[in-house]
Amino acid sequence: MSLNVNPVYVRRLLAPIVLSLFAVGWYKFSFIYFTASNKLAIAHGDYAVYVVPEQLQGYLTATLWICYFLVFAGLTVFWYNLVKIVQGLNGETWTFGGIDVIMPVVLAVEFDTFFYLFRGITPMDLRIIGYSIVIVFLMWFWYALVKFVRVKENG
Amino acid sequence: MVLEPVFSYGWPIVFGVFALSGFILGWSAQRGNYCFVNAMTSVFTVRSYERFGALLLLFGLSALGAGLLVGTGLIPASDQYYFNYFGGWYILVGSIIFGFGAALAGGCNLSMLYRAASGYVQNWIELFGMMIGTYIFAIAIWPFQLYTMENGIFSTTSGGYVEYLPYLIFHNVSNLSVMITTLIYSIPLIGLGIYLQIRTKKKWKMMSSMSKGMMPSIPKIKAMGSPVPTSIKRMEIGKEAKDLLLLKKPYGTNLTTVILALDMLLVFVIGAGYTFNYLVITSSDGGRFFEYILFLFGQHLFLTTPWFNDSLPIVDTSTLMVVMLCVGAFFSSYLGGDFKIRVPREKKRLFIGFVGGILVGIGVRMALGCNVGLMWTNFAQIGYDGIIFIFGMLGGVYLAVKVQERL
Amino acid sequence: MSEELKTKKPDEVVDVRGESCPIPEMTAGKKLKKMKVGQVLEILTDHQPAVDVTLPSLAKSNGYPYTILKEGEVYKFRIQKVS
Repeated sequence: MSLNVNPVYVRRLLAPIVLSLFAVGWYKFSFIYFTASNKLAIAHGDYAVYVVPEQLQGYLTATLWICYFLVFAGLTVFWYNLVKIVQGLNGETWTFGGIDVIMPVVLAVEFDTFFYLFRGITPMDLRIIGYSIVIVFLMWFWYALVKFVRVKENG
Repeated sequence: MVLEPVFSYGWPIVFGVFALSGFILGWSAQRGNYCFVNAMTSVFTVRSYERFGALLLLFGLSALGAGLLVGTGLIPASDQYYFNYFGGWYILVGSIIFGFGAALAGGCNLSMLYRAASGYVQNWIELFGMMIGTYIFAIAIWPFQLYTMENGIFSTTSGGYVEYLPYLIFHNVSNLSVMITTLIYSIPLIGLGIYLQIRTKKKWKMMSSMSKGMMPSIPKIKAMGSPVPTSIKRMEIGKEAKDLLLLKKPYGTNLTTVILALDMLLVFVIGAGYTFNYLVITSSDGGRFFEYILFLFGQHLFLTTPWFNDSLPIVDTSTLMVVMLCVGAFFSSYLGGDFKIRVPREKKRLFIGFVGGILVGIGVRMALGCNVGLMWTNFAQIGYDGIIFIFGMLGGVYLAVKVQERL
Repeated sequence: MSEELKTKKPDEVVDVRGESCPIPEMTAGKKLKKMKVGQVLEILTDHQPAVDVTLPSLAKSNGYPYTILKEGEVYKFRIQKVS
């Protein structure tokens, strides 16, 4: 099998991974350095720089949720493009059909059912992650539907 | 002067909404190729007022929206003027330096960020230059500027309602005075913006009919007096909407203008009483991120350096706004197939971009903000600094165009 | 005119790939000033705003016909200088 990968696809694989890594890195950086710097600011009496704990905590909470969103979005896009590349390498022609639109809905329902059935024994954090994955699949469904319409229009 | 929260919710919501607004800002600006500098350079390079007219439309719509919200009593006036800036010599000088640097480097603060997120290496260099420029300003210029601000030397000694046009005109901030000032202030801006756009398009049509043969790519020049059937119009609009949603076509200038104006109003409402409730990006991309990079090396500029120690909290809503602006622009360019690492062919452009970035950093800090954080925001604040800034920026851009023509 | 511009070999070519506004339109404008009437200038660019906005503005402001060709990720923006 000859490796004749379109550089556009390589770019399309690396970019979402870099985005996901950036999201994780940004949250970690914020958690470690902002908290420490804030303590340093109040220790030096620098009230112009100091941020009240509620505000800092609010920032960290929002950043954590954004991090979840970006990681999942990035990995979803990465997976989608990886499938395209592998199919291209194998010389397959790929037609986008109804199955590709329904698949994310099926997965979303699967995850949702799993976390609902086991809600008694799974910790809250894990359930939040699970429901976040469901939201991501529903976004994927929207993307697939849009793609399906485009493919149908172009014939 | 008291900040009054309009709604009651926690800080995570405020930060979340500002992050969302940053995403919308980055996404829309990238899709619409919205650039304040380009709008001004077009005036001097190709004699086109179309995009400049769109800018005036943006300022007018933002002023009208914010003013109506306050004038009808939905948002307290203090939440509109609380963060109004000082006004003085530094606004004019800073805006000239900013305009010059931004045109030299190839992007204002907004376009610098969304182009950097789309893979333009020149704008990464410009961003780094901006950080250096911020530091240069902090150690070399801020102590002197602060002295003039504190002592009223060609400067006001406070911001807030002192810079608020309803107060300056009517000596009160009642709903009626705000409403009247809003209408006087915003409607001429909107009218002028629309007029400039119509005038430019008329000129293009005239030029195309004068040249030999039809210009092939000017779309839909219809013969006078022949109406297009409604059904065909509807089909065209439907196709246009579908192309926009599927990212096949960029957003038009006026569509982007409306989205950005609504984005500004979103943060104006949600942030009211909590924080600087306008779109602001400069403090973060120029100052904070430089400080954050130095955190990694154990350095804390807020302990040792002027401006960093009295003007810049560790984090605020603009931090997330800038990060998500870049994410929104990235997604927009990536999903639209436009994301690509681009290096200028002429390597001198990177050096010019760096120098331009330094000037941008110095200029925006002197002017207390950039084209977004001061100029656009101040129109929504119904102040006068934005008017000073726009003229200064035009002057700086003009000079840069002349210099670029010789480079 | 559009077909003629697409098939005619350009008299001058300017490569501004990797550059962003205002470089493409400024470079094109400078080049057009030095060209003779009837000649075709081709600008190679990968900057979308230049293709969508600023280069068409340059052409429209002068009344010059133009056409846009795409080869891979590069746009070829052709303008003909007319009297």
